[in-house]
Amino acid sequence: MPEGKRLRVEHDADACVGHGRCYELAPAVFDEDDCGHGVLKTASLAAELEGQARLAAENCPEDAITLRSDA
Amino acid sequence: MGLVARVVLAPRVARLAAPRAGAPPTRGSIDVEDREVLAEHLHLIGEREPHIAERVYERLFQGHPQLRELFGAHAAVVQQDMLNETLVGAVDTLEGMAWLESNLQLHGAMHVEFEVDDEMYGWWTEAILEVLAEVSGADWSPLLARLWRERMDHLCSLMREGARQAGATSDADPGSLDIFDPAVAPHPQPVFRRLRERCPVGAPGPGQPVCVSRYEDVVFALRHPEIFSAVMPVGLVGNKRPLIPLHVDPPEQTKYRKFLDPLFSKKRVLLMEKSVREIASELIDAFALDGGCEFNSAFAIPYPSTVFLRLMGLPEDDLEYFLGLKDGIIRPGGADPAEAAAIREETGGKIYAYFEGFLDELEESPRDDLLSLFLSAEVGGERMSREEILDICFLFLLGGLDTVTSTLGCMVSYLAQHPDRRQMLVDEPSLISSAVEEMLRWETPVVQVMRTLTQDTRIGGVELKKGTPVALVLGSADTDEAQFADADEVDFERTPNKHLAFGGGPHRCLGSHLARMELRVALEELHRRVPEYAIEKGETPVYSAAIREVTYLPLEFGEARI
Repeated sequence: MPEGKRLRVEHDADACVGHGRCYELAPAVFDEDDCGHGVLKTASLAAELEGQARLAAENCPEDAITLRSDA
Repeated sequence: MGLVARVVLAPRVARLAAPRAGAPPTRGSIDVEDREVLAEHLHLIGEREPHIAERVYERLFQGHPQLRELFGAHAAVVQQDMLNETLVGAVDTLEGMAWLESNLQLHGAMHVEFEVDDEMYGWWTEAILEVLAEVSGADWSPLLARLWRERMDHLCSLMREGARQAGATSDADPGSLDIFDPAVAPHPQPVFRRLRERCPVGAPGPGQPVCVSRYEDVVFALRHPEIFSAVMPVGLVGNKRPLIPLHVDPPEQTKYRKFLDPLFSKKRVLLMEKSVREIASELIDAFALDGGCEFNSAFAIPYPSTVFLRLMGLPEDDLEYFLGLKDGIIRPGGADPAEAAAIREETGGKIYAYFEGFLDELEESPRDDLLSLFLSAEVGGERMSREEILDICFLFLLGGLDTVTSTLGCMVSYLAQHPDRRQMLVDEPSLISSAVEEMLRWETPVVQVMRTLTQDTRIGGVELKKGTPVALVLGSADTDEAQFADADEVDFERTPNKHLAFGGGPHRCLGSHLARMELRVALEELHRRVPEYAIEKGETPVYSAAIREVTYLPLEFGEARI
């Protein structure tokens, strides 16, 4: 996939309360901070990570994760 | 002039038939003089307030917002027309009575289907009497009050009779909305569905709190503690002060969570996994070769409690005493609410005293455990007071023991009754993590969490007043078809699965990572050692309500592995 068409993943730290679904389901995209809240390992997604990132986004109970196509 | 046709009373009143002399008395008929009084009064009402029916329903919905949805099944004009017909019929003698007899009994039968209960007939009566009195003003009299009440009582008895007959000839589900009834605890999902459909925001029964039952509304409430406050009156659980951090809202709550969250993060919790697995394994050793067990007492109760004692650094010999304290708060028993409250208060005193004594010892000689850490840690820049530490311990005791016990019981009971699903976990243990999520969703053992409104609020189309206690029904949210595709299907690989079994928003269960690990480890060990089990023949599991503990879970095993 060309560099310009990569998906971007956004994590809203204000909405995150630490359910921990993202780093459980998408360990290549998310890490946990000391409080157990999700933190992004990478914002720009390589194609092989898209599946994980989608899984994290659709399973976040706080709707804190968004996927966007980079312009 | 509104576009919607409004129903007026007068044309109906004009049809009031004159009493026929010598007509045979019918059941519930009234004497001629009383009828004249009421007929005249009804003419007066028709002149003064043509839209009386509209007003009665407004009054009814104002006092009982949950009824709006119930009545919503019919167009407002139909309802109002019916009410006018009923008022007129009530004072008519012959034709009116005949109409009432057939229609109201039919209505009563319909009410069974719509789950109208006795209490609601009372609300309906009061709404009508109140509005009649208001419209009458100075013309209202004790005589009118008495006569109207008699008429309304008669109407209600007709409807009840219809309801009874319908109930007697139908073997359909009685259609309860009572999510707090222990009888529905084994299989609450159909009741949740009815609640969402008929009463998404409102009290499902007499003396019960307003329940919010749709996912969308529950999630909104959880994310907005500034409106739906978790602060509770002190003493409900035998506590003298608010439990920390549950009964404290942001921003104050945030400083406690910043301290506590790292202690219960997934990373931290996984460090305990080996020790937790040992506890599970030892408990299973004790019954694996017995051919069966009562799972609650053999495993579901001692397992999380032992984990908790070890985590806190408390002596494991205190297990029985600890369980007694927990039950004294959560299931106090007692003949009535006052006695239950007294037992809770007494137990609460013992809980404070127990931890107080222990903290005194640790202050002298600190150790490497959670309680010692509490004594030395800084929260929001200062050391916690002894009271703050006790208020955290009190909450941990209530939250850490019972919830995992209940969840584990619900899951094993489900699996014991669904051998195909049990076999999936035996064949493919890597499925257990996502199966835990799906069973958390489906079973949601903590059925509801309480909040109190800090301001007048509209939610799910219903106006609620400041100060109203509200139950957020997590169990119902988690089986809401609007959120979960094929919500009634238990799918161990479900995604998305944004269940709310641990709540959500800033009060998300502090122990969720610990609970998930405990549940996964327990199911891994159980299915490795006892791959075949079922509910013991001739036995039935027993569930408690509110927190759905399977208090009696008799299992029989197939061949166990040592």
